[in-house]
Amino acid sequence: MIGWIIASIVLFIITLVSAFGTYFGLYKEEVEPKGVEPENELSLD
Amino acid sequence: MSSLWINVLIILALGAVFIISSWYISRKVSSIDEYVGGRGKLGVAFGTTSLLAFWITGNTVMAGPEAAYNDGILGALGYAALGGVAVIAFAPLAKRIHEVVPNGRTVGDFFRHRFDTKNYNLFIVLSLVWVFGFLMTQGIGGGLLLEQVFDIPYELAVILTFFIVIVYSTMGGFSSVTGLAFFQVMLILVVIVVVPPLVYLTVGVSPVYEGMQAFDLGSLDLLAPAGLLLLFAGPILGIGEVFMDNTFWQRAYAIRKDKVTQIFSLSGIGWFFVPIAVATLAFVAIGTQQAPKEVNQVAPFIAEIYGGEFASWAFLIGVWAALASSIAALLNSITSLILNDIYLKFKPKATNDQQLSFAKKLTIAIGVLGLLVSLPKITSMLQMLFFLGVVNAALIFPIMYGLFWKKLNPNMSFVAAISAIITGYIVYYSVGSLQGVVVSGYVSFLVCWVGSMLKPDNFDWKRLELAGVGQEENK
Amino acid sequence: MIVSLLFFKIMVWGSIIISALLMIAVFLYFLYEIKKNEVW
Repeated sequence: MIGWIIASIVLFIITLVSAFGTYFGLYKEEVEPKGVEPENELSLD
Repeated sequence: MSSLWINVLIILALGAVFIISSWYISRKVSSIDEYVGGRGKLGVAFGTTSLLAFWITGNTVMAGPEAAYNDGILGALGYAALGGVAVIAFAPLAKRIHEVVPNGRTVGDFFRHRFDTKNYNLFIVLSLVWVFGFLMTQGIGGGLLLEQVFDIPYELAVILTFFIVIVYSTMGGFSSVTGLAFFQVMLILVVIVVVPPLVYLTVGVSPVYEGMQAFDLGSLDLLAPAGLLLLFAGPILGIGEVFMDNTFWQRAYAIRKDKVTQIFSLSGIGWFFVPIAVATLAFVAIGTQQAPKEVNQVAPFIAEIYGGEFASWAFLIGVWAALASSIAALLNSITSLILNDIYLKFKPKATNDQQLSFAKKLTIAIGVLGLLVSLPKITSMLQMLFFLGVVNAALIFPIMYGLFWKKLNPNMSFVAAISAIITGYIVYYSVGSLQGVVVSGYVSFLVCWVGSMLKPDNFDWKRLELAGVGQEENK
Repeated sequence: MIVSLLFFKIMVWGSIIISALLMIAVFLYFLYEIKKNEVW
């Protein structure tokens, strides 16, 4: 059971980090089609 | 007059109000866009309530307390996290959807233009299975709820609910559904803000806590394994549901671009705290050792003991408003998905009026079908949700990476979805339901990520800008 | 780990108060947006 709990915590974190990825500097290489949000650019640094 | 007939009268009166309001709203609906979504016009009030109304289902109001009664504090927190985290996690996606799919209408528009035909076909099938499955859980769950808690016979409850919802959601489509959602959510919130304080001001918080300590110490434990698994695997299930659900995509397109973050955050907060507020009623049941016959009756049971008949009726109004608003949102969501992604493929030149008339007939047909499959009481709500959760989790990463990451390879996302579903169900049947969801999520993540690192795609985001453009020209 | 009485009190009243604030916030937004004709 402990193993499943840890596995689900790790997947939970991976999912959240991927969803909020632009705030953590993920997906840097993406070319925004239009209207890059300035706050995203700031958080990439 | 018996309480059965009073309860039926309450539903009929509320239903009549919904239908009249919907008729009033529908007078302004003349374009198919307003009927299936409307583009980027919803403000904070209607945007937030349209999300809350769909996502707070009749079962939220009942199953939250049930989880709290079974698993104590962790049950309440886990149930809240299941929905709340998912809505907040969808906020960056909704923002991104506005940026890369500015003209979209359904989740299908994204899939058609971001991936290839095999992905699109697989997704449309899974998506329809999911929304229809969800509609069934609402019908069945709602019928059971009204039968067990409010003494209304199951068949009568299902027929009455579907009939009223079909009538009002057919009239004005998305505009009616979102317009009414505001008032429905206000009703639900009033009940939640009035009933639990009424109970706690009578019994007191400390006596409840001491009672829980004395009778069921485990319910106050923050490290109970079953509860912990729900706390972390639950949100993965919720995120999977939200990401692939056309109902959320419709709302993402429909709300104002500059208000997206505000609206999703407010809804997430709402979804997190509303179930906890209702679930606190279950703690009273544990602390004072007053158990109802059926566990899912725990909230109205306690409400009636301390708040009398008034509280019981207030609960019926809240629960039924929650139930009706979710079914209405689902009917409209399925209609828009079929219209946009199936009907228009065969009749791309259909005029506005033809589409509108088809959409109305379709809403009725889906409603009647939903009613018929809900009548036999096939399965329980939670079983069905966990079962479909494997499919939900398998699509988390294809959708998320598809929106943010140009390297995501469509072949890999297809393999990821299929392999995640297969392994997920193997674990689901051999180990356990939540474990199946977790494994499905992992396989989906690993295949998408590793596969696309090995064979990266180079997606041109401009292709997504074209999504949904064609339909506008037909007006 | 057993939660304390204080945590329990915060959870009960906190969730009710935040639900109430949400209700008020959404309603005020409604009035504000209806005034600016931005509801939908």
